[in-house]
Amino acid sequence: RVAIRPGVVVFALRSTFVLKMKVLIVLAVLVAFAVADDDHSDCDALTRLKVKGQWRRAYSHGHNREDFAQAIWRAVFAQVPEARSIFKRVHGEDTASPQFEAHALRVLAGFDIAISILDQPAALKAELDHLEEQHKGRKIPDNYFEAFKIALLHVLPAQLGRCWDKAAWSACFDLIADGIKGHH
Amino acid sequence: YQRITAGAAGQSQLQPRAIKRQTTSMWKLVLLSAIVGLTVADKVQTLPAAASASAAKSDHDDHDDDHGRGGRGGGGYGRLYTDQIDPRLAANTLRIISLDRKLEDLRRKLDEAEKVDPEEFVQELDARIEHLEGTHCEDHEYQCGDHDMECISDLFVCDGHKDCHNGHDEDPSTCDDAPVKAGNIFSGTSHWTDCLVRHDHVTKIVIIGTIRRKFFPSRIWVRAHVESDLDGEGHAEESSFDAKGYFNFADHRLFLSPTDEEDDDHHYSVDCYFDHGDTHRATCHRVIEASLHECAVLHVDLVGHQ
Repeated sequence: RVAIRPGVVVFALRSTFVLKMKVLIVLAVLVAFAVADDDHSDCDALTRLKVKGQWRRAYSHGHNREDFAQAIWRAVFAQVPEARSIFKRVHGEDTASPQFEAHALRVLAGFDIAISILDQPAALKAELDHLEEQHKGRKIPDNYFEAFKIALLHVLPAQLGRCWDKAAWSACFDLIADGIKGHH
Repeated sequence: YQRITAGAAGQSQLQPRAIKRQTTSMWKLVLLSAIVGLTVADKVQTLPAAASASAAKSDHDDHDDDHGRGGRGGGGYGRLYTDQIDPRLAANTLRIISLDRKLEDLRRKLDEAEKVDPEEFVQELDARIEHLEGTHCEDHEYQCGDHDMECISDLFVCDGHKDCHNGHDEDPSTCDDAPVKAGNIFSGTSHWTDCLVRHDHVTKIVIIGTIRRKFFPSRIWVRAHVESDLDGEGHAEESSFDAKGYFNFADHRLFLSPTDEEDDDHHYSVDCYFDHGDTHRATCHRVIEASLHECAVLHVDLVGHQ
């Protein structure tokens, strides 16, 4: 005599249901990862907010901002001195000249726009397309972008002092740089 | 004053070995003079004897003399000084011995003098007063010093580019990286005033490694190990963590925050200022990284290099 108690049946049913749910969740997570992988895996929504917050602290204002820009460009040219030739029109030979100061502030202003709208994909796309247009035809080698990234990733922690996330910055910088380079 | 300290420093540097050499040569001198004294005395005695009588006689006399000396016995040294050695030489020997003692004394005094360096003392007073006066500069700015009160961004201090009119931002004394040499160990007693309930305990900060980027030299990136000897329930306990941070030349600040955030024990950051006007003492605080709220104070000193 085999007595099947209803409780056991319910339990069995529930466990298969739970199993299915788990498989579903795992699948969903995998899909999410795959999607995220396409679109700069580590510069996700929360990371973008983090980068925005840290940028607001570092970008600061007034004279301090000029110095911040100056420090970044000194570090860039120290790595790739030959990059100065691109900036002849804006007196790249002397980073302290007013013309170059103005240019450095313009660059940071563009960067500021891009970072401010990191969490608005449509607006970000428009800005990156605009920047790509501006850089097109200048034949900027990828290693100059790399030098800019390295410079930024050293001056930023010096400016912030503490509480900064290098990995977050690296990922989100790549997103912006790729947009400017046109490597979508 | 400058000359005195320079002289003292110079002597104190070479003094222990030099004086040792001097003492040994002093003893050699004393011995030599004693030997010379003896031979001279011998000759003085033989010469008149040879002049007055035949060689054989004088020899015999000498023997007689020797026997006599032996016979009288005991008082050999007393006679050595009074009869054989010129009293002036004996006096000189005594003088040399006392000079030797004085040199030994001087060595001790030089050791003492090294402990109180007036130049360092004045530097420390200077640094403390400057700290109280304030710099007249904004946060994250470096004051170029002297009388023109120029301020520049701390991103430009020691970056190989002269930004101050007087060039102080590239001065060797400003850009001394001695505080954060790998291998440096700073030790001091932590006194907790907030955040944790702990008795006073010793904390050691060990600088493990440093990197200074050629393209951005105004910071030294530092890795360190922070160890605390805690007094557990009846047994010694060690709490330690790895930290990383940077040294800023502009304000002589070393900031270290824990690297392993998943550590079960929560560790507080270390915020040190080398504010004593030298490179081996610092005032540190254990702080909450986000707010810089001070939890403990410790005054550290460089150890293990003397």
